Amino acid sequence: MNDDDDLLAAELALGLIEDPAAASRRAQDADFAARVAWWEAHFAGLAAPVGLEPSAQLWPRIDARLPQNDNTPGNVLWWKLTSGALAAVAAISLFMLAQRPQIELPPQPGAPAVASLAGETGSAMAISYDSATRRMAIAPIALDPGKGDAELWVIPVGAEKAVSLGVFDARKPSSHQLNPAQARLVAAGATFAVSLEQRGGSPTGQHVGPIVASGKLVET
Amino acid sequence: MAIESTDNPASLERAALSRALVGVARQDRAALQEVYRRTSRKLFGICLRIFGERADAEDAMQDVYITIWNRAGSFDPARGNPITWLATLTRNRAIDILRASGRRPTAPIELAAEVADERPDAEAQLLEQGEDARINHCIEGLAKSDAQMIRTAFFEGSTYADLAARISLPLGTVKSRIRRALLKLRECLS
Repeated sequence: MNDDDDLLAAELALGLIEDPAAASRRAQDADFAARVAWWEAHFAGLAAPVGLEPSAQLWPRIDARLPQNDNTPGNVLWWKLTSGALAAVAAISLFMLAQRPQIELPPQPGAPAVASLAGETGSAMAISYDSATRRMAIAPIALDPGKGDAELWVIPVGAEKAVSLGVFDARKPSSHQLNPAQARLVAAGATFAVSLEQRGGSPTGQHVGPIVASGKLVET
Repeated sequence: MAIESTDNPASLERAALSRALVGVARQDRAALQEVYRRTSRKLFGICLRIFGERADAEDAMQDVYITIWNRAGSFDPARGNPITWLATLTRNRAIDILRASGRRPTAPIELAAEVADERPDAEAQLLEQGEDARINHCIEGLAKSDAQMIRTAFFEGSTYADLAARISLPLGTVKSRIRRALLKLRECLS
């Protein structure tokens, strides 16, 4: 490998460059990937212990974020989540019925579509959407945005890119009116995803933080 | 990589850690706890160095161990050193979090004088075995200011452009200095 290529490998390992071409070369060129790994392994040695330990509460907090053994069929957490999500959906439906103005005739399609979102780290949320009124109700069940914000995304049927529907309150249920453009994206079969972003949401138009829960919208 | 003798404590530690990671790949939480017990001090050191503050470092640590849980399957015990794999994952994840939070460091950097007149680097006194020692020895052999730029890139996720802005030097100058230093480093490490 010539010096320029090897320097590129070092620059990538160290994060000196943000070059998608170099990153994809790493995925495709085994020799180059080996050189990046060689540099990474050496740079990792720069990280010497500082003689301080994390607090004793850290492990329990990590443990709480792990899913229960999801290889076991019928495990407890799954049932808890599912029944929790269904209860939440039922509660939302009642809430939405209660919210409808008295004078207006009830919209034709009775049952809203629902989505139950879950993720590997134990995050869970329920969404209920009524296409007639374009109202969406969000019920976070287990969602911790830390110091940032939770952002809701929709991947429309047949699409590959997620479109942001905005940030929402991860701590309590909320109800939202979609605009017509958003409503065109949200139909049965669409996938919702929640990512944890910096305050105010991802600045890039695509998620930057991790996706912590996702699920499909289904007709009830 | 050097042949490891089996009775060396460092290689026993590696073997135990590799086994634990294989367990994590099977989604065994006790195995993750074992990984945590063996590595939390070291990985916390990385996060603390990057965030400079305990609360943020601990938040990042949660993310790091969840990432280990999700990605342990991609660690190959036959080919990789588990400590290196974990340290690299931790550093990269922590830098991602730092960047995503919009807090990429921008404070000006004053490069050290070239003369080695300071006390020995604290890091060099806290060395572990093997590869760690090599990089820390080799980086000491660079001009202090070059070592400082490389450390800043590693611990603060600074790109060439960030460094140039923070040091107030032209981008081309920073690039050619670092590239020269990297070649020197490679010679020492090889």
